[in-house]
Amino acid sequence: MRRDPQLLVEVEHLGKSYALGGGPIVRALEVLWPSLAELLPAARRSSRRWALRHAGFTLKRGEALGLVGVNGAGKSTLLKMLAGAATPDEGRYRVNGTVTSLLELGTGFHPDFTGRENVLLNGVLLGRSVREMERLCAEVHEFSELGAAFDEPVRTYSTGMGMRLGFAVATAQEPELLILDEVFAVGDLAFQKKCIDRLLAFRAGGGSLILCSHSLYDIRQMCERALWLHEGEVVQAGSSAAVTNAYAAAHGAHPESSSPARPILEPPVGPRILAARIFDGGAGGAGGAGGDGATGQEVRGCAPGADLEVRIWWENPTPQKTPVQLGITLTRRGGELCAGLGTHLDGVRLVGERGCCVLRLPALALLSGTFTVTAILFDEQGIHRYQERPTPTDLVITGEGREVGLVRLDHSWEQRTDGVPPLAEPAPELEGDGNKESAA
Amino acid sequence: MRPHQPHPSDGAGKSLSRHLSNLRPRRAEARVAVLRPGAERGGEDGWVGPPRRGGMWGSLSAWPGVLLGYRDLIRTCVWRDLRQRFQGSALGVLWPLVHPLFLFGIYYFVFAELLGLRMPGALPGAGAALGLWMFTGTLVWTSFADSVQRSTSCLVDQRNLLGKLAFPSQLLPLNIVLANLATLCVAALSLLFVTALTGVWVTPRWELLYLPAIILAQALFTSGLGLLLAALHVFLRDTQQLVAITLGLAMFLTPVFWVPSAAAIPGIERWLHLVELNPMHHLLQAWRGVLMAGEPQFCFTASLSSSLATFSLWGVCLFILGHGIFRSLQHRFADEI
Repeated sequence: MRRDPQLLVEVEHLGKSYALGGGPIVRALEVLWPSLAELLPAARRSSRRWALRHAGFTLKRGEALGLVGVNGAGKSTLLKMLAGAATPDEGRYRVNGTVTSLLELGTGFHPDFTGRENVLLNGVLLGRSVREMERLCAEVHEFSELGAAFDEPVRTYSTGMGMRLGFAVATAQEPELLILDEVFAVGDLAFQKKCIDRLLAFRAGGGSLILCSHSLYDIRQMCERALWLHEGEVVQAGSSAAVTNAYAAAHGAHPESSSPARPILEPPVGPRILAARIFDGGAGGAGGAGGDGATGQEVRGCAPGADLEVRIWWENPTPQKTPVQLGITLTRRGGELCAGLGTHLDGVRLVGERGCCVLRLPALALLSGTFTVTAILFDEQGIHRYQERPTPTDLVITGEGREVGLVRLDHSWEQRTDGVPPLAEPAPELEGDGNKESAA
Repeated sequence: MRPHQPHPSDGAGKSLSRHLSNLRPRRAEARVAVLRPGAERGGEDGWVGPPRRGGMWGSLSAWPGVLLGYRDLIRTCVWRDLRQRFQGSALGVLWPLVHPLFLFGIYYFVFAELLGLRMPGALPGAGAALGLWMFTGTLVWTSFADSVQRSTSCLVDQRNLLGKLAFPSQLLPLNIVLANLATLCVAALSLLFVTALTGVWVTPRWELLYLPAIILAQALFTSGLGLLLAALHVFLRDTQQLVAITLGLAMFLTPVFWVPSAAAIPGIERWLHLVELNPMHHLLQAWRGVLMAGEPQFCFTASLSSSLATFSLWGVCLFILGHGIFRSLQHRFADEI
């Protein structure tokens, strides 16, 4: 088979199994002398559980692949194998380039060594030269913002400091493929933003990324392709939008909903939302000059079809350094995301250091329900969220009519007389890019 | 700190952008030293698959490549190991001599003073014979025992690396063995220096040429044993305890403190063929052949070269065995730890 220079990662029928039971001595014997181990009664021998099987895909240079799946689906096993930290039990893979991985934060850090020594150790363990790592040390030091602690033993670090060092050292090595297991934004909010910028710059420079995350939002934003794993098997491979949609549909989550693993607290400094409130939009009208809440009454509920305004007071002390965007989400009780709107999606720019942003929602199409309205402060690309702030009260929409469902769709009815029903049901069409790909 | 630091708030943004511009993968840059994960596993054409059974010679022949490709790892680890041991201690590099000296003091007192063991027929004016014999033995033995003991537990001790980073784990026991050999060489050289300076003993001359070969054979033997025990310790955590007990026993079964000669211990003749089966006996004989210049002659039943040859054979065999078992079990380490 010829090596395609465009392909960075090739994976064919990859599988990994773990031994269960039997005891470590029996398991060692099974590896060293299988025929002797077979003489043991079956109950004494170990059984194998496949953590991953028949996984196949290819990744081109410069592409990013996201892995989705519930816990125990085999995501980490696949990443470990691609990083070279675990050996496959069947199939094969090939990475035509340099790899660094961040499988777990603080990976391979020796607690008694200083940050600097650990950076060197991490590099030489991956076969890099001391000279090369010494060149990177300054860069890692600067990026990780550890200051004087860089020359202190790692055991004196806080969790966050260890994470920052781990992220800095994995990304500083300029690999062609970067493998991230659930860790691509670490530390405080400002540092998370820095991490995301770094990954985006890495992507922009032609680097490839394989990451796994429970945040479908992040997968959609960071990757153009995705792989859905379930119980060790590939369920679907394709564009990240198609795969995350299918995954979300199967698991009752919304693909745009954020990861629960990243709680967004109110940042003490930097850009933030001061307040978010819902107002009756009828009184002010479309032509109203309402910039600071002079029109309309604050509301807690309304009827379907009402005009509403969401006003978000925000502050951004450093608009040059950290341009921001605002968004809101409407989530129905039960966690279903019904709508998401953002200034970055509509091409609106927030200027100045503070202000009040008014979102007009004329003739609200939502039907009855209780909705949580959350204001979100994004970075300029709408990837990193600085803050999420729900309005103080939920929005309760109470309908008097007999309409059912979540929204009232724009619609009309027409009566015809020439209708002959088609004979056969059309076959359901598969989603454009969502077909299962086979590794040819 | 750079000489002229820009304004702090300004500087953070600038440093970030400079940083980001550095981040672009440099594909054109040849990077020979960087090995792909699994590349040392010998997959053809870059493919990495399940470990193949057999292929012992193929995996043995991968050693030079691994040693060369990861020479910086070996150098860093060995250097760090040495530095860790001697840095911040008052005696510093004297420690590798102090520990054997201490052991030697105890055993010399027990064997020579309490039990009255003597070396009859030693060279006239060489009263130091038994002392030197014991001391060289302790020196080599403590180094060997320390290597074996530490390499047995090295994989389990470094569990935070295994399974998270792609690196050849066979280098972990090797690093310990190399660090201990370096310490032993320093101790042996200082011993030679002392004996040559004080003139209490014959100064070895041509025997010194054997030293590199002895060290190489010892490296093979010890790392073979280290690989074997380290792999077993992953599966059976009693290994470390068993090794400690066995080493304690073996120290007395090996002629470290006693002379395997009827001239020194009457009635030992019928056990001597068993002593010949002990590889460590041959190693000690080889070291003593160099450090004591083969004197007194009745202590050395075999020539220096034949002791070395016997031990080298042991070394090669044990290395192949240890390597084979380590390689067979290696792909399971991350699962078991």
